[in-house]
Amino acid sequence: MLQRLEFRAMGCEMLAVIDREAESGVLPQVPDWFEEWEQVLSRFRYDSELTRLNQTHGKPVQVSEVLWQVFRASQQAEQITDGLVTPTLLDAIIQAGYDRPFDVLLPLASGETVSVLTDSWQLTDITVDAAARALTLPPGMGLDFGGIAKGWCTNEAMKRLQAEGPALVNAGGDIAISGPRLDGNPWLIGVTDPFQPHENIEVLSLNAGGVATSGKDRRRWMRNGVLQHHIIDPFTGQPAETDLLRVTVVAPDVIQAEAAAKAAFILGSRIGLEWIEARPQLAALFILVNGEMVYSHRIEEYL
Amino acid sequence: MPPKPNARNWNDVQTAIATAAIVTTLGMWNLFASPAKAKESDEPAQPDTLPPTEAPTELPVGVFSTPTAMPPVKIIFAQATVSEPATTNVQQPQAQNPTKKKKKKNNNNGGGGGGGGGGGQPVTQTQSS
Repeated sequence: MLQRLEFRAMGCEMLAVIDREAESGVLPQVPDWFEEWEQVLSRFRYDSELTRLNQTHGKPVQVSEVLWQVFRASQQAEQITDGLVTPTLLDAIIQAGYDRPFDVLLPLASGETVSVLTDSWQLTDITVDAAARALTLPPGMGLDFGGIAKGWCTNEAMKRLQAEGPALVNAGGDIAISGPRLDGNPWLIGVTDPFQPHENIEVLSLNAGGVATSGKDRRRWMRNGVLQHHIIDPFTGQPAETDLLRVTVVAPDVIQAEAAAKAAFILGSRIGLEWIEARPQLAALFILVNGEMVYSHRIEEYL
Repeated sequence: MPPKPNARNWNDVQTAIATAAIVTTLGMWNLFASPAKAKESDEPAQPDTLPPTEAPTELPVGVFSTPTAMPPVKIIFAQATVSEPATTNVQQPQAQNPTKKKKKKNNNNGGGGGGGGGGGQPVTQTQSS
């Protein structure tokens, strides 16, 4: 029997599910976990650990275990995406207008301009002391873990829940699945139609792993008459402009899925598909701005 | 009513002009398309890519007894290839809501045996996060 808990956190609708007969003791704790993680990882909270880290200006700071793990996850994401997904684009995302939670993001007044990223930071610019779990950010550098943080939280919640049974956690579209359901069947995941959001354009069937979707069909806003969105191309410092509207990726875990979906989106349909196909652990479904759908070979395994 | 004496000749002239126009068009097409094709061949398969070229097909020479020097013309027929990703071409977008030709709609568990609550309905959905 599926036990479900829906709540709101990190600016998203959340869903936690356990497949078990007896009542779950941990399921009600999930919102508290997310609140705790958000207090560490949110760049929108002035008193979060991440905000304080971003204000250290060259001083070494010992970070919490949660922030450390997310930092490690973002290092891996940057590595597997060849630098396309990096937490060092805080300046660019703010310059694009995403300087407050999306819930309260309003169209900005005309006359403001969007400038091209001038300082290009890399994670290697950070001094890392693994033994002391300490980070030293260069002066002027800020981190925004973005989707990687949400992916990590989703994965962590799923791992905690799976002690009680097969579990699924969905954080605004980033989905972590622990294993097959009690009856041995896979979990069915609808892929929403961006043009008719209440309908599924496909249904994925997964036993375990992660699913994530990135695109410019939801978190977007107007600035100076130009449509902006939250996926920044690190080469331009601007919201990525490609022929893609949205990318859904299936991966061994949700963090990889999140990173890969963003990377493919930045690369566009042709190179992005090549990038996906070159990685045997990934499968993807692209939806182009013209409505065309493109399937990677391995996505067939999940349809 | 008997046909005009010169009607057949006029048809021949029309045919010759049409043939010359087609041959010239295809020749120019091939001439200018070649560099682009060479560039594409270095790139991986893409959803909307052209399929491999067919063997060059000879053009009808028509009424010309001695064809003028013309580059060989290739006619490319569209067909799916095994190496191409599975794609679903959709009709041209109509305003905000293009009609999508869905390749597959899978709303159940794929015919697996039996029960287990939840049936064929998705447990949840993924969307842009």
